[in-house]
Amino acid sequence: MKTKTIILFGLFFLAVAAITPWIGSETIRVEEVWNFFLGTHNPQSDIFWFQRIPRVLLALLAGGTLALVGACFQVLFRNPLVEPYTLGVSGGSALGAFLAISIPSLWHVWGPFSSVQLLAVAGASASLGLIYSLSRSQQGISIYTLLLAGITVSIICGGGILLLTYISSPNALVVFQRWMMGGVDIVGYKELVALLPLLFPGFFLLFIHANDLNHIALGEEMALGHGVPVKKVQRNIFIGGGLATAAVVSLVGPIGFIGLIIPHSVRRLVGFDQRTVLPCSFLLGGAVLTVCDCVARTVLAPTELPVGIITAIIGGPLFIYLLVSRQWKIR
Amino acid sequence: MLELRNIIHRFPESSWELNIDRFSVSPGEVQGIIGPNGSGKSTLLRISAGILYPLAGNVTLSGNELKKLKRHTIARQVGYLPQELSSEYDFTVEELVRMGRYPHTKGLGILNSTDITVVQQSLEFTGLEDLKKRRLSQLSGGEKKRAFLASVLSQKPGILLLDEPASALDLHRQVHFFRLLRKLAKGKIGVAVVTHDINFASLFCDKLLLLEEGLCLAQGPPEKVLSRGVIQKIYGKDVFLGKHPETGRPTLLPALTDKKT
Repeated sequence: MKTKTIILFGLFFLAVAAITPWIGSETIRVEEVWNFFLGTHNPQSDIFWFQRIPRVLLALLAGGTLALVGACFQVLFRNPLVEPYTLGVSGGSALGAFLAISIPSLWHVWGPFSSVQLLAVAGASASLGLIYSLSRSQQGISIYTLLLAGITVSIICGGGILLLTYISSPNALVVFQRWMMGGVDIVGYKELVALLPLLFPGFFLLFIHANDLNHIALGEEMALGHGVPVKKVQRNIFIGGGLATAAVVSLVGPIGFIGLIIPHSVRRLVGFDQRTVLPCSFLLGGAVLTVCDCVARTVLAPTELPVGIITAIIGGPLFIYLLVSRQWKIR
Repeated sequence: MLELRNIIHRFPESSWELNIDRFSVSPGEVQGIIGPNGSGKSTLLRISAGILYPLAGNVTLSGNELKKLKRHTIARQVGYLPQELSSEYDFTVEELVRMGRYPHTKGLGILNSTDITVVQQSLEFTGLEDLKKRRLSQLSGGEKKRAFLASVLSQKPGILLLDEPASALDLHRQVHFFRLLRKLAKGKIGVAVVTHDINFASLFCDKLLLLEEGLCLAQGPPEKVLSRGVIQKIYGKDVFLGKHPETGRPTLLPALTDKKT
């Protein structure tokens, strides 16, 4: 465990968090932001406090979560190409969320929660359950079977979504199409707070197994021999990863490739000890998605692009590169 | 002491079942599990390590049923080295050996000074001190096996179960590896080793267990187990039964023609 490295990543994370809210199509002056606390409202400070800050916070949390879950799943499946997006977990959550958005009778709100989150969790669990049962069959599973299964799940969910799109009202469509592109533009803090009850238990389950994941990288038998309760760890990572992914995806839509690129880069930078890799993945993932979002909202200013477009344009080619470059395994 | 009694295990795809009345590993002795490929050697070892639960029978560790013990507790007493050694990530030798301290730590697995001393000892014992900063991908086959063995040794187990630890190594590295096992037994560790190499088993083990199609054909000291009759039954007339020039232990040699045994 490299505490200094984690602190360094933390500083970068904080720097991104401190700088990016000031960047955007609307120039914001420091005095006006301060004036907000003195009770004088003006459009600029409102933009800062109710749009930029929530947006940056959400990007930090969402990017961090996707990267963290990606890092955990990559060890669990012993496969460098899995992440919530390629496993179809994002697709499952998306279908669940869209069911809640488009079918009025499924739409319920309980305090900060809504049926969107509930059904997103259900969708994530369903696709994870399928992938899990596939990957448990016989002696492990090949990279390709897993990816194909993930893609198949995504396609099925995509089909379900198209069907719902076809029959749903134009109102829901606008909301949904925007959401499908993956975006972190929210207004206010209500939705952000609603994330936390799902995110924190998820993070807890993932982080407590950081050391166990090191052993699982050595294979199930070696891990068992070292004394790791492998089944329990696998179960907790699935539950934790599923909860955290569903929470994030239900709000920001399916943002791809962050969960793939970030853990990969982190391992290149800090080595393979998961106790360092997991926190650093969270910190770098959050920072990178925030920067991507910053690009998304300035590159075509005053039009703001959904950040999912940016991550897909950068991430897709990188995924292909990883797929064709020989992945070494230590045999 | 690790003890197995009346073990029965069956795989759906196999035509026979593993059926072992009694098998035990006691401190200070090296025990060899031998037999043709697919005779159930690895399965027996997995059951001993608690990796696999048998359909019937008892596995006990110092009198306690293995099934009821926590993984942590088992790992402090039993070390298991699987046949397939691989790592998803390119850890350094030192990182790998430090991981062996898992059952003695909690939470994030931060090592204290005792742990670090043990890790150092394991590295020294396996002769990997100079290589400890190397990554696994930079090691030869034999060094890699030793690195994983060192990791298991860091658990400080009283019983060590090894599955084909020396296969795919050069002859002299195999000899070195088996000598390490004898050295471990001298230090009051009980060793059980699965190997398909009968000559190594005969020379380096105190006791042998010979398996064929899941059944125990013979059990005891090498001189007794590797009798003319048994050898003929398994290998037909394709091998000679000779004696090791140093120790007089039974040794097998390939036969050019199938006239004599």
